[in-house]
Amino acid sequence: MKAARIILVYLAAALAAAVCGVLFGAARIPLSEFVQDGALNPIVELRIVRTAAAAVVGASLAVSGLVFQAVLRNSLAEPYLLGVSGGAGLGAAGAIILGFSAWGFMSVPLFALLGAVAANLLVFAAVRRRSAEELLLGGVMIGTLASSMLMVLITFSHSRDMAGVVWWMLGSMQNVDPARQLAPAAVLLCAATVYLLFRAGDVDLLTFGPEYAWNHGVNARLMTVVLLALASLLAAVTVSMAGIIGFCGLVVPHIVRRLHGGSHRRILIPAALAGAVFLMLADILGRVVSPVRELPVGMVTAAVGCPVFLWLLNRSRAGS
Amino acid sequence: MHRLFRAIFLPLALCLVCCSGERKSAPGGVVSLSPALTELVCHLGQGDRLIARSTACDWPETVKTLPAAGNFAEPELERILAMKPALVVSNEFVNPKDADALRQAGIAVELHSCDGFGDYREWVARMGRLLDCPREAEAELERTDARIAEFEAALENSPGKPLRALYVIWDSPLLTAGADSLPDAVGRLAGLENIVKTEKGYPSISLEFVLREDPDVVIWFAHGKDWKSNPSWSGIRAIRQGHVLVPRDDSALLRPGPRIFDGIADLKADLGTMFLSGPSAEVAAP
Repeated sequence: MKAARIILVYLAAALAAAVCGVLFGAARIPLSEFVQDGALNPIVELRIVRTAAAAVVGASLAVSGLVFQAVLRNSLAEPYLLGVSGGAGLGAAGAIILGFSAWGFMSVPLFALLGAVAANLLVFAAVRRRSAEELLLGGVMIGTLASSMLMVLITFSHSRDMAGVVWWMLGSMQNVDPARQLAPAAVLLCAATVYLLFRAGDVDLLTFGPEYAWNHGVNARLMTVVLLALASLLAAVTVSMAGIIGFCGLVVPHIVRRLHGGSHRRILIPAALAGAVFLMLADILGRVVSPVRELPVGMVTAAVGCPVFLWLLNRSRAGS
Repeated sequence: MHRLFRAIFLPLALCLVCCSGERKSAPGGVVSLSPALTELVCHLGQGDRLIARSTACDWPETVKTLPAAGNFAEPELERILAMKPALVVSNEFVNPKDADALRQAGIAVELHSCDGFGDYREWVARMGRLLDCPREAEAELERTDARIAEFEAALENSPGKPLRALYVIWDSPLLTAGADSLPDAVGRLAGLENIVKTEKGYPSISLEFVLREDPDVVIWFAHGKDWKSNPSWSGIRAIRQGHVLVPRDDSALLRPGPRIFDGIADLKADLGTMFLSGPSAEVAAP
């Protein structure tokens, strides 16, 4: 299938998921009540924001995962490597438990972003040679350290704070601020996608190893650092917006690569759109299955993503 | 003979005095790890028997001078064992095995949840027996029944439907009080109807559910959190209209203790002020 046709198929799926995201939820609203007294129904408004947030978060995680897997040449690489999830979780938990959340609605996301970026910088500073393997190990170490510190904070926390931290760890689209969080994240996603499209050839070369890329005229070390920093920033921004959502960044790039090959120019936009579709559908499922309590989206992505991924893995093995 | 007396009997006598002194201090020594039970012990006139409290116990003011022997429902075992109390009371323990450890050391441990007025009555009767103050307990039971009957009579005589309320325990995630919770029971006596009917306990609920249920008033228990800073909240009609009520003293309403009826009376009065003076009449904490 031609690249343009592939993109059109994914775009259609994303549009369908977005429409479903606005139509379905905890409440049943007839189409006639979407607009009331000349203003958009607040429930519909809420759904539009969270559907858009799911799309941006899903796409960002998928793009981030695609880059991590390519640059680190590791099929288990995911957006939360290099300490992003541990740092963000520690930042958010610290803000909640130490009382900084009282400073305002944006304080917890800001602390999460700071934690993620700090953990990321620590990994880059600690690992001097910056080879892919060493960065990977450094990320795992810093992530483990941050997780241990997070556990210490949780141990000393109040039960209400603990609920906030747990909610943060499972992810949710409920409290995304459209102006202060969603818009900057969307701009970052677009800029990253455009940059990666221009550098898709270099990413392809890096998947064969830094020496191979170097021999073909790519500054492999610099490119590795730039790409990992960009992928980490995408993940950190999504974590600050919606908490830690696993599986999307790991599974979606795998599936798209299996379906459409390894050329990053060809699969970048399909991966982003597939990530958006995956998270929009997970968010809808979380809202519809449990209308009052609402399932955390991170739980849904794991529950749905894991069996789908295993099925695809077994199917492709049987085929080969 | 005199030397023999001094060498044998004097130390023995001293030892007996010391031991008996230690035994004397044990009975009556009570450790409360629940703020509501601390209030109840003091209300029954037995406050002088408290030897330690939890870090959450802050009322009446006099208990703040007592040493802390743990957090709410989290005993510090070594500290309590060193205090040698006769009785430890709490609604529950985070780690149930802590109760076994205390009982093995010969300390009586009384644990019982307290989620409504029935549980409160049960605790009053139990405390009357445990602290040997049946008359005070009986008086408190009579007062409890009288206050509940008074609120119920007022409800029967009030015209119109009860106000539909959302109880916000925490804003992010949105933790609320479910159908069988204490705030639900308290709110019912104050003339409120909880919008959460199917979920029990303190569930985390979706904002879409709140928008669908469209509460008339939001009772804000999320102390120290500001609903105005979260744009997602602006979709709720009660928030837009300023029908957000911060209880004067949320501890009086969230603790199943003797002050709860005063808390309900204050809540009723504040609701009356808010809905008589019209929209945007926000009642703020003093």
